[in-house]
Amino acid sequence: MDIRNPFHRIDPSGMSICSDGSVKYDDKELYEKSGGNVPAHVSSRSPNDACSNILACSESLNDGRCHNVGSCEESDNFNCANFTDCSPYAVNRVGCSDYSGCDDWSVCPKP
Amino acid sequence: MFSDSTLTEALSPRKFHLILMPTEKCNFRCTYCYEDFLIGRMPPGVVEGIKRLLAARVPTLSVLHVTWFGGEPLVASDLVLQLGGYAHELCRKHGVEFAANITTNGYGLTGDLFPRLLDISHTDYQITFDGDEEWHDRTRVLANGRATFARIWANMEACREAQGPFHIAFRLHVHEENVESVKRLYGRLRKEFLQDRRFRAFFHKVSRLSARPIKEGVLDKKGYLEALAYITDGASTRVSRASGLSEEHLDGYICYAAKPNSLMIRADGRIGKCTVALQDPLNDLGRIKEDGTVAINNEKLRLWFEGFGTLSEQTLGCPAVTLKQAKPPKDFVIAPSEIGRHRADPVKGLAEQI
Repeated sequence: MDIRNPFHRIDPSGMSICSDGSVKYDDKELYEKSGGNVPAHVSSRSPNDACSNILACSESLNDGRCHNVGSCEESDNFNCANFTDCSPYAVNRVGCSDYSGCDDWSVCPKP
Repeated sequence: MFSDSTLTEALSPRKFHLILMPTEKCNFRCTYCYEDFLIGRMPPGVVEGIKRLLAARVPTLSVLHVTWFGGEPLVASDLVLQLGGYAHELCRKHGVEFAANITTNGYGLTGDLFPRLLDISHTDYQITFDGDEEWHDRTRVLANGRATFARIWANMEACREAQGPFHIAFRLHVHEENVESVKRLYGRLRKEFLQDRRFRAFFHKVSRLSARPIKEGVLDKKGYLEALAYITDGASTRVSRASGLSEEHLDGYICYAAKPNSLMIRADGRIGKCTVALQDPLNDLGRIKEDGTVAINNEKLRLWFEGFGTLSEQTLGCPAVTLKQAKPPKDFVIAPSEIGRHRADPVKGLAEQI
């Protein structure tokens, strides 16, 4: 098993939705991995959804801004088009007003 | 390639994404829309069923995400306020994160209604323009044929005055004929809205997505990217593929229809996965009962999850494409090159959306 990837194998035939609307996986490991790793503040529009290594980082920083978190590589923050500054917020230096990944436009030059 | 967090979010049983259609009627008749508008307002039995479903599910969740779709959801704004308010309060009571977004044509998003929606944490909106007033009013017209641009624009100006955080995304449709018009609109949006970080804009190519022909000329990928570069004065060529500037700028996207933790409940109580293939039997998966339980054909449902077996970007980005390729019906013409990866949030109409 590749411990870096909890989703090394996913069997769609083991997925179901129960009568109460909940998701059920026959694969107990998958269930636990998917259920246990969800940062409370992850929502579908969080820029950090796109950070490939966010699970290795502090969940508390997943606050809707595009961060370079902890020991993550800059490349993890590929939601930022031109990641030039890790701290405190990653900012997109190009086309700020058109760009959804960065939240803190106040530090961006206007396009 | 999908990140662990993307897969986690897609598979987590602690997240629940509910796409609700309070009505499938619409006050618009966009020239390219694929919907048939046959199903009307959600009846009380379905509303009650959804409330009971939420009451049972929310205590077990970390995140509840409600998406309002239609038809035009704000035609039934009282149901949005009623059910959305219920979900909002339930999540507050149980300490569950709540997010809600509305895909609306913007005609009914008035300065009176908007603060009431913000009060129940409905903070994300998607509103489509087909260009500036000249083009928009040719294609996005009321059912009586009248123009809509001026009222939508006035509504946006009123929304801009609202206090507090919200996000309004302008979806700008592009086809062969309206490139100049979209450029004019984009310039005006930049000047009047996009300096405010609560607003943003992204682009989408109009495509033929039902059997019915459309009048608009569909751009190929090269022409589309060239059009975006022209419209944005080159900015589109400098952003990464993960920027979400258009469907050509999305990477690692998993469609809501592929996610086990996402369900669509139609106005008549039927349950499906895809907000586009509304007439397809493969998307007719069951129904919600008034007691809040759901009856689902899991065998058929699993067809929508098949992309997880291979982690195919194409299948997870649009499971409907794979399903249609396996069993193409005569009235469904989505092709991978046309739909590819569309937005994480369902957007109005396939022809309209893509």
